[in-house]
Amino acid sequence: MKFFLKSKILSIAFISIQLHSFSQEVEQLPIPYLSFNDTNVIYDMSMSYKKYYGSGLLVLKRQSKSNYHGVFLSKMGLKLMEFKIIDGVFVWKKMIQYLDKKSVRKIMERDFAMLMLSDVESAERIKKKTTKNDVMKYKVWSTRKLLLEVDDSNIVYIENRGGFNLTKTKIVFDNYEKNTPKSLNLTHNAIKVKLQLELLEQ
Amino acid sequence: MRATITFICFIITFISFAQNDFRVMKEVEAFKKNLTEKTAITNSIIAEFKQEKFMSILSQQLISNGTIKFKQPNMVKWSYTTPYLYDIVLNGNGIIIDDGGKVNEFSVGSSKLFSEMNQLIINSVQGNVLDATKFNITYLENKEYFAAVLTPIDKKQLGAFLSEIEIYFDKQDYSVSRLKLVEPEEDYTQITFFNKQFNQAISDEIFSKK
Repeated sequence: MKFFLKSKILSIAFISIQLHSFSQEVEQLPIPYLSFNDTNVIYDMSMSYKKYYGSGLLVLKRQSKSNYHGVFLSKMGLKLMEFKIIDGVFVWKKMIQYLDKKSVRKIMERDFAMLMLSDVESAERIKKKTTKNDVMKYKVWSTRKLLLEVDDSNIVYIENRGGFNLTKTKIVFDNYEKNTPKSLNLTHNAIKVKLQLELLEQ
Repeated sequence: MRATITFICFIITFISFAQNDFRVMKEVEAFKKNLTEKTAITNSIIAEFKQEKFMSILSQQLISNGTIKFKQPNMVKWSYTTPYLYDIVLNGNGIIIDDGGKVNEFSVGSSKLFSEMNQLIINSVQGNVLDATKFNITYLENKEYFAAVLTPIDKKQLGAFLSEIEIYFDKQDYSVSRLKLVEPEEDYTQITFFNKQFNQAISDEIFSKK
């Protein structure tokens, strides 16, 4: 009986410590660069794969919590891809036939979700790992496991972790101005595809 | 059934154009004849353009500007100058893209869609796009413009990307003044041409890879 009581008290103490540390970490969540208002951001996006190089415009909008909208169009105005994240679920609205393959879709879904930081917003658990030179590292448990680096409340790096992860997505968010990164650089492990995004000044 | 759908499309098109004082064109054959004559004597076109992209996702339209150069029989160069530097050349053999100094070349034949888009752009600039085998065409006019509203018949290739193409011809000289490319989701791109110059000398070199 004494042992049972002791272990009960210990587990309650453990749970409260866990809850306390979780709530602390939630308070430290970085500011998402896509805000809830009616505006969108437009990036000049270039893609290189071996000798191939192409570019277009990527329009991103965060409509409400867990609801996002994105369009990729050619510079001549032709819409090539359109997608939405509805209550955390990725939905393709349009996809150019040339890229319409299951494996490509899967990687792009992860890339775009990570670019818009939708996984961070819907995180089930966030745990602080280390702090080095003012950069804080976090582990995030969401639709996928993520490693996050935050500097001055802005996310500066994100990568997906765990499992058989040959095509890992790695994104560097750089050159922040008013909490919006002006440059983003997306690469993968084992695939020589590189995406470079520059904020379009209109 | 098909006739009913065509009739409904015609009515919708007609109502939306009626708001801009457009009415059904009276002399379609005369318009076609004059356009063919104008196309035959136009060897080159140089114009400035303003491209406006309207999409539901955008809080305001996306505007880009540049110049276009066209030379018979099938060479076009679009040069975007703001807000990005981007050249696209269609020279009959292929497509050359110069994206801020990074140059790529493609064969037109490698993609049926690209091939159709290529032909559509060249024909639109020339005003030589009234192909009844590829489009259902409605002819309209108001005080300033003749308008041709094209609906692609093939819904799998071009029709998957564009539900309607509106071409506005200046009544004074039959040149293309405005192009409106409407997507199936009703987002659209509008390109307005101005400061047009006809039959100026243009070197072939600008349509080839540097």
